[in-house]
Amino acid sequence: MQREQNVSEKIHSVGEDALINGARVRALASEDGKRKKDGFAKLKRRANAMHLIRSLLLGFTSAWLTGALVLSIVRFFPLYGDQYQLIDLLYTALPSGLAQLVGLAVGFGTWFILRRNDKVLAKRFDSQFDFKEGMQTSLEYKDDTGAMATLLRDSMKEKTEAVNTKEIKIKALPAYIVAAVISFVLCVVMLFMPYNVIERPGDKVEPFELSEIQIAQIEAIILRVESSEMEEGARAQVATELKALLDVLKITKEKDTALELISLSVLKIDDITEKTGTSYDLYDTLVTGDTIFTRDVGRLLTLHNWEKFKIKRERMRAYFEHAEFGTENADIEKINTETIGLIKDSALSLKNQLAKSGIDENDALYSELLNLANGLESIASDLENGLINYRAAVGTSEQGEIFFLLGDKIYQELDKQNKNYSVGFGASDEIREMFGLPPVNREDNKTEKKPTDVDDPDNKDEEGNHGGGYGDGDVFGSNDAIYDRDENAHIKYGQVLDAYYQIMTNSNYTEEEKKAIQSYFEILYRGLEEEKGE
Amino acid sequence: MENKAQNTEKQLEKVKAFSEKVAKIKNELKKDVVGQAEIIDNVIIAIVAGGNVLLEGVPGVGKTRLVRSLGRVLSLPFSRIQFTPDLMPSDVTGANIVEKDENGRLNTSFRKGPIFANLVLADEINRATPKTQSAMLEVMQEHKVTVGNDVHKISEPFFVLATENPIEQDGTYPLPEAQMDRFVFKLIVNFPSDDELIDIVKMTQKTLAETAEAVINGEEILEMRELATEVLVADDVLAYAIKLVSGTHPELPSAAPSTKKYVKYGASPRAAQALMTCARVKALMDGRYNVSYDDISELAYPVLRHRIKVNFTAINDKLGVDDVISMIIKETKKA
Repeated sequence: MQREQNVSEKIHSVGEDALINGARVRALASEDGKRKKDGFAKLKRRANAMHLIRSLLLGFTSAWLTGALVLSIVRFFPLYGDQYQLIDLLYTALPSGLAQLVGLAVGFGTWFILRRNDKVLAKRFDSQFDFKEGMQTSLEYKDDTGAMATLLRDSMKEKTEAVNTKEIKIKALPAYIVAAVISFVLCVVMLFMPYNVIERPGDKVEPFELSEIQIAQIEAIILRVESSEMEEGARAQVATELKALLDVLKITKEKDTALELISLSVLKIDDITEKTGTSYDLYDTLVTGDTIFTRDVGRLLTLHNWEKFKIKRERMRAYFEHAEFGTENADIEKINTETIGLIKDSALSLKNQLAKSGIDENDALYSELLNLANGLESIASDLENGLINYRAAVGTSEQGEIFFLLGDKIYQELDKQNKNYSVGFGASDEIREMFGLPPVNREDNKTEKKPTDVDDPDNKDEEGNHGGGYGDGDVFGSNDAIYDRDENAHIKYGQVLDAYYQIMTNSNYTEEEKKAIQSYFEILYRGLEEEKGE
Repeated sequence: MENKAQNTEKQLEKVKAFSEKVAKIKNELKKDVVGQAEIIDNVIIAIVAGGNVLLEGVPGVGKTRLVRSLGRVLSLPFSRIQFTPDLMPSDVTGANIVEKDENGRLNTSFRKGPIFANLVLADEINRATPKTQSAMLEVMQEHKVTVGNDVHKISEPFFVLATENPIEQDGTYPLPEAQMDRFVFKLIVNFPSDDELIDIVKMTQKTLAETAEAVINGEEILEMRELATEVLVADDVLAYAIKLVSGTHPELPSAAPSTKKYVKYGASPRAAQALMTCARVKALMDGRYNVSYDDISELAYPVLRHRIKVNFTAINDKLGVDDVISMIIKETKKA
């Protein structure tokens, strides 16, 4: 029993020792573990916190700076439209997005790239707190269980406990804070800086108001048209169109709208005018005829001057003159035969081209030209039958059946058409001038493809000058002349200028009248400037 | 765990004892030696590290007195060898002599020379001939003497403290590099300051006797040496020491700029060993358990000054070896 008691006591004693030792071991382990957590870990936590703050400050600073920079660049570029571009996605998202991107990149970059590892931190602490490399040595031997290593760790623990962690701070912290504040202020300032808003050229609404002078001018044009010798139907249409234009312009407030209406109106007037005549179309067809006579008939239609018409007419008569006629030993038979042949060919050619033209046979000019062709055939027949002789048929200067055939009637019809043109085109051209629209090149308008005059491919023959009253030179007229409707002729531009200066210096004219005239010439000049690209 | 704690406690006691012994040594030495605190510290470091020391100084600055006092304080058998040009190697190491025993028979026996002590003062070592100087080589490095076929070991701890007179160059034989390399330190004993001179005069006016007493013995020194070897060194600190030593070689790519300009040849690997060994002792003396960069930098002077040879450019620029060492230290980056 005693023995059992002794054993029991022994066991109990051993057990108690074990318990005590175990407790001691646990206490030591706990202390050792705690030792490991303290010291360096404490300083490291502080250092990492400071690094985090620095990363954040750098991130925010770079974000705000980027935002400010992008916003300032955006402000330099003009914006079209109203001032509510602030909510425009591009101009808000771009600076914001870029700023965030840069901020995140810098912040994270600073955190990860510049974050010090334990070794570097330990060196920093050794240097800052004069640990004499105790911290980095302790870290290196952290797993060393030797006595010296333990003593070193204990020593470092004591030293670190005596350290005020607040001494671990960001170098030049005030500089970081100041930089952050400045960048923030810059960003806010740029955010509220007004945009450089400009109006798009197309957006600009230029006002329009028809002046009294312009009303008077249009009314004058209407009056002129109505009292002209223009074909009745066309005359009424043109007058109606002009009146409608005037009415709408009186109520139009925007310049662009006004110009558009005017353009449409003058095109309509030109269209009406074109339909009053057939001389352009006939010219196009006749000038491609297979005989000289036919082609000359085409050219004849371009003349709007009786004197020139007579000259041309004579030339056309002379075309049929036989070279042998009037010479010694002339073969009259032969002359007659050849002349008849020539007349017949010319007549046939003319007829064919007339047929090709597609013009209505009821057209007066067409009818006269057809009469011309028939007349030539009749002359040929009479000559053939001996009813008339060569001299009677061909005649001499401004004499002969052929000459008289190419007579007034053709010119009368032509003149009628020319008068329609001059009234209609004149009205539309005047309207164009008034409102600064570019002049029209009648040649290009009238024929899509100008036929090549085989006898005058370079169009050197000035009699072939086709079209209405305005050429395509620097002034509205041919070369240095301008067409005068009243005179129905071209007058030198110098005369116009003379008249202008006379009016300007004449006190009989009111200021308002002078201003209207001046405006007219300014519009002319502005038109020239636009053509030249000035 | 409990053993570990006990070991730690024991270690702590040893460290405390180390500090106490060092303090005692210093206190005792102060009784006989005025000033020269740095010299005393370095001598203690060298002795604990187990190295030999070369003391250079003008006559009368207390070199011999220091060594003698040291011998008493350390309770080490002390001998003094006055080197002269006619000193023979056998005068240092000892020789076999023929003796008659009591029976009248002739026997040869080895008569130990003065080198057989624990603390040897080799006075004016540069006055001895190279042959005699070379006799010191083996004993300084290996702590043994070979005479004929016999090897005689010298008991530990063993130190040689040699002195040199920098002024008297006539009739001297500069120590060869191989022997210089055997000294762990070369210490320059400067002329005492006026206050120190006053104390010296006052002290020696009373008595010339040396009153320092023994406070430690050889065994304790060996224990201290063993403890010092346990002092921890971080890899970067070691790398710094190595960089410093290799930086003294002008032919190496790692040479410092000043080395390339002023150094003729650099320190041997023994310098690195000496540096680390002594740095450990220094750390322990300062109450630390690890070696620091400062330990290396401060000990670089006594360790390197006798191992580096400066060239004519340094002489021309009036730069001493310590000046060049300062430059090298500045130019060597810490890891």
